[in-house]
Amino acid sequence: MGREDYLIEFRCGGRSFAAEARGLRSIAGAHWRPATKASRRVVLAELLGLTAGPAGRTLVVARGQGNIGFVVESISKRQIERQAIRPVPELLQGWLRVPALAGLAYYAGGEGVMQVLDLPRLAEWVEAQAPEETGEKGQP
Amino acid sequence: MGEHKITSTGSMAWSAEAGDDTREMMFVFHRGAQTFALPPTSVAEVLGQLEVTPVPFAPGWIEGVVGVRGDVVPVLALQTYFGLGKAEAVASRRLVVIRHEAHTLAVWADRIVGVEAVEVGAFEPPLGNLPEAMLKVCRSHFRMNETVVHCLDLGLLLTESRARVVAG
Repeated sequence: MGREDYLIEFRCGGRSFAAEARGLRSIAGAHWRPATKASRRVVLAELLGLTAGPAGRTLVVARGQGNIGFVVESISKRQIERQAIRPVPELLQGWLRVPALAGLAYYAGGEGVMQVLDLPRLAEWVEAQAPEETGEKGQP
Repeated sequence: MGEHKITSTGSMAWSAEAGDDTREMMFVFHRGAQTFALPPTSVAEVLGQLEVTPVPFAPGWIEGVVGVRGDVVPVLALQTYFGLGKAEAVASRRLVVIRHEAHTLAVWADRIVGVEAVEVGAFEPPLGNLPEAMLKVCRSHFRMNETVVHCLDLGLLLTESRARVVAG
């Protein structure tokens, strides 16, 4: 499976999420730090309004001149095929304050629904909220 | 009155005689201290307990999403939406899957009353003392014994809920 074709699954705030691998610049360690003023480190669980667990890895997304690193707890070895993504219902899309949901994917034989986050779009939103700010950012 | 039964899969099916010029069929359910009614044609199915996955960046009255036969369906918390406080999760509650035009959503019901035939003359305008959010989406009410049943207008509910998000 090529990088274009799969989702990575990760734990954040004690829950499982997924993101498209092709939206990531790299996956770094927990202690990744912004190298330039244009970059920033964001604890993803706090951004999503969840209680953050111990930092495990950082999902780095290119944004403008820099990078935005989303800190998560762990990354699963399981890869989910991109075809598993289902579109967000139009009704739900209209209810969301931030359009950061790329889709939803079933897991555990269809018993659960995993959210597929649109990390590049979330990075765009993070930057739009506080373009001058650098360093860590938490919940909106 | 129509009848409803629980199927072997835990979902609920019902049958009801068609309404006529003098009666309108309504699907009635309890949620918290309120009793609501919907046109039975808008109720796609009633399911047992399902795991609801919370969704980030959703307003507090969106409980999350559930998977229903390959579809992802948002769950709207009626009590929270109407400002009536957070309803307790009753063990016997059921998920009512509702369709309106191209949209599907679900709401929890603590108890399903069933499909009731309501005399057309029994419908009255919404009660004036309802919370504003509820008043905006109720088209009428009727009484079932001593219980006030609020008739929800799904079109208004969807329109108002989106307007509420836009308004912040």
